[in-house]
Amino acid sequence: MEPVWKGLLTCDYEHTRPGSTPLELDLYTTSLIRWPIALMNDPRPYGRLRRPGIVDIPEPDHLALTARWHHKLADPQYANTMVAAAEQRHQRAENALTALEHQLLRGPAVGAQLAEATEALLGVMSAHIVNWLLPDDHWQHLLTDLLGSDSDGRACRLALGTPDATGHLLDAHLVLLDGATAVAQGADLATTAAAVSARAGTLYGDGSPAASAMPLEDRTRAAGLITATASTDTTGQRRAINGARRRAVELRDAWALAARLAALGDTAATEEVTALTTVCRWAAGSEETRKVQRHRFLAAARRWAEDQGTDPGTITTADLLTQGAAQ
Amino acid sequence: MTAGAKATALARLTAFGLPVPAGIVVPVDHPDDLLADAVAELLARLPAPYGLVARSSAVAEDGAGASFAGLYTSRFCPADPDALLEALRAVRASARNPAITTYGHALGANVGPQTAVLVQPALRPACSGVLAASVTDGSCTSWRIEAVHGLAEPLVSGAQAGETHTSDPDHHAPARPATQPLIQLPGTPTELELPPGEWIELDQDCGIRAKIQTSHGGVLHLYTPTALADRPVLTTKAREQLLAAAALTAAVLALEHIDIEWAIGFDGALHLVQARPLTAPLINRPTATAAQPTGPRVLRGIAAAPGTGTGPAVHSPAITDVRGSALICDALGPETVPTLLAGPAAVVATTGGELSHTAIITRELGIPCVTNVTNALTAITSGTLVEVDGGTGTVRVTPAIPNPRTAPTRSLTHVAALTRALDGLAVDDGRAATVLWHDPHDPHDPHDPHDPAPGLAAFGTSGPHPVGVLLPGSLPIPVTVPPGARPIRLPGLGTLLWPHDAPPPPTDIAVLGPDGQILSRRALCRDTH
Repeated sequence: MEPVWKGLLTCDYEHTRPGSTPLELDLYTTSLIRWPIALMNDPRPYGRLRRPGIVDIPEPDHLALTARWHHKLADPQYANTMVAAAEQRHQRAENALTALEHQLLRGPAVGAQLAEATEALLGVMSAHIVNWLLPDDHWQHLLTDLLGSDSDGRACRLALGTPDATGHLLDAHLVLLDGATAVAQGADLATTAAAVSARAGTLYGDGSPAASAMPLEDRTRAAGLITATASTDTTGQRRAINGARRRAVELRDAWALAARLAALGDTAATEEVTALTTVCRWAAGSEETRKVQRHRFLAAARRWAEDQGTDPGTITTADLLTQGAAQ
Repeated sequence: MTAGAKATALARLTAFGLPVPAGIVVPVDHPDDLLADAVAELLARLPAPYGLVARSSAVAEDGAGASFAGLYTSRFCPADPDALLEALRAVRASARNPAITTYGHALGANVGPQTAVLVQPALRPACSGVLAASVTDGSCTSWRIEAVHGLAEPLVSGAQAGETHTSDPDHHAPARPATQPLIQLPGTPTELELPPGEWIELDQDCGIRAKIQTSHGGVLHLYTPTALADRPVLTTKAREQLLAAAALTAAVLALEHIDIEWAIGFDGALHLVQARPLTAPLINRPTATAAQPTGPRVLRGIAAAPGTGTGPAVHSPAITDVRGSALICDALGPETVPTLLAGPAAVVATTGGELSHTAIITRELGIPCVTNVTNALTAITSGTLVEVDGGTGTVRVTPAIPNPRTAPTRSLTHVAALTRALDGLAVDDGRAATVLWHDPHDPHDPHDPHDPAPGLAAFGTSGPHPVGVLLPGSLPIPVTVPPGARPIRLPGLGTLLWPHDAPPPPTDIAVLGPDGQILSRRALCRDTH
């Protein structure tokens, strides 16, 4: 977000996400404007669209909405409710994407699935504000006061930002390791490559799958990587990943308990620590899942556009939502 | 000399034909109540498509023994009466800065509480910077130039490192290419009304546009266009032109050591905006080689994964032989996992925040990481030894890999280790006791909310140390205290259910990390009544 200029804050995705397609910019700007309704059922919009990729937020609106959200984030009950709702949105998106991908394999009549996946993903995308709108400074001060030093406060806060489920980078590699192990044990390479490509193909490589396919969406390249990986110590890699993950989660849970112990006797601090522990853990996991779902959605939308003979670099969310209405 | 030293020196240079921007001086003794009249005259006489700059020109400033660099104020402003009046007042008020008096007394300079103000049309430079030189027989014999795109304000204020050129004979190439995320330029009235995110023409001849980050005080803050990012700031030809002008300037001002601020327009024209005696000896840094640090000594980013790691910088995440190295990279993808599993000492990423995918994977793998060090790939050459502190978000060039730090010996003799599960009960690490945290009101508590002391019956005093249960907060003591246990009120903490046949609880309670380190520790204040 840019500095305040004449009472206006600007979110400029043209700058932060250069090379994005209109659809990618739409996903960010539309979901940004909607975050108050998505995360705290507040109907006020967070700013207005200036043009694709740029949202202007009047500073008073920004201050009012973030102050309200930060106040609510100190309440453990709200944190639990917000996280539960967000997880339901992820689940809705998961279901919608699975249905869309399935339908794309069967034939071109995907309008309803496309619209549902678009709407569902927009709900998920609203959570991308956790990257800059969480009360990180306030939490840092709180944890520093409780734990006695800035470094312990930061170590605690960072550890709390460890997701429950394995992050998507390690998970994508585990998918590859599984495929490599299966092939080493005699599984069919082409079938395995298709499975790896479907599960993790959109995640390998630079950029996004919005306008063109990612390298591992190509099953032949996936097969090559599986073959190369099969000759490495897949067991050792899996053991290292699982061990590191286990330790990271232990560290996170230990810091969460350490903060709770430090806050005991102070009701307000205890409530805040309980709430921020819930929110930090969710935020980290949400960002990981959001990336995977966003890439799956963009790849599916691209495939749909290609089937229609349309340039995927020109489609918008409105185009996709209209497909559902047309059916 | 009511025009002050800066204006006087520039006037002498102008008289000798050197390229100094036109300007008008508001003298030291100009009455405050007549400033508005001066503003009207300045605006009428100075054509200012990019606004104006009001610069201090105090009598004692820019002297041979004391430069007062950075102590007086300069202000850019749009060419409108209110803005210019405010700028004049700000510059004149800066003469009353107590630091000026202190500095002047320390260096024996006679300081008055006033300053003249030199008002000039703001230049719109392609690049600008500073030059320090020793001049002998009409040539710069030892010199150092620092340059940035646009205005030199970020360089002069220390906010931005510049591209550095020196006279070191072994050092012909610019030593430190400037990685400059933002360019400052004075704007036209139309440009200054454009909101952040809009584009302006930066260099019409080359068709280069720049995006506005923000603007204030008549100055645009522009994101450095990709087309300029890797381009040298100062060409060889411009450098030679600048050195020739510096030598001539020194001759005009009868100086052997000179300090110049300069600017070069998009048309290639050189402008001298300040010239004064060099008050500190010119010291060029040693020659840089690939293995030596050439960038800033400390880079700052976002603390992403705690811990400290030191190692030689490696730039490509595709290299799998990175054990013990500091991996310098853009955002990480899944294809880099084998590299990360090879055991780098640390990761420094050019992008990302605390919740970026690079941050999360390094936390998962326990690798110290700093993200958002935007210039890491250019500022840290491959092979440079760096210490990465993922807890403070700093990357420091270091001469050697430090000896492994040994954790301070910690005794758990008087400590009860607090845990959420009794799996670790068999751990015999010298702790005095284990205490299970059990919060029946917490929906995430893994234990049966109706069982006041889960596991207590099974453990109690049967293990290597006693086991108790902490019911946190002000919960009432359970009606049914498990057999063999007694409740102990711990003011500020809660209720401890403690085995009857165990020795008294230890004095402290603590949470241990996976490596046994104490994360948080409190005293157990017992009240058995």
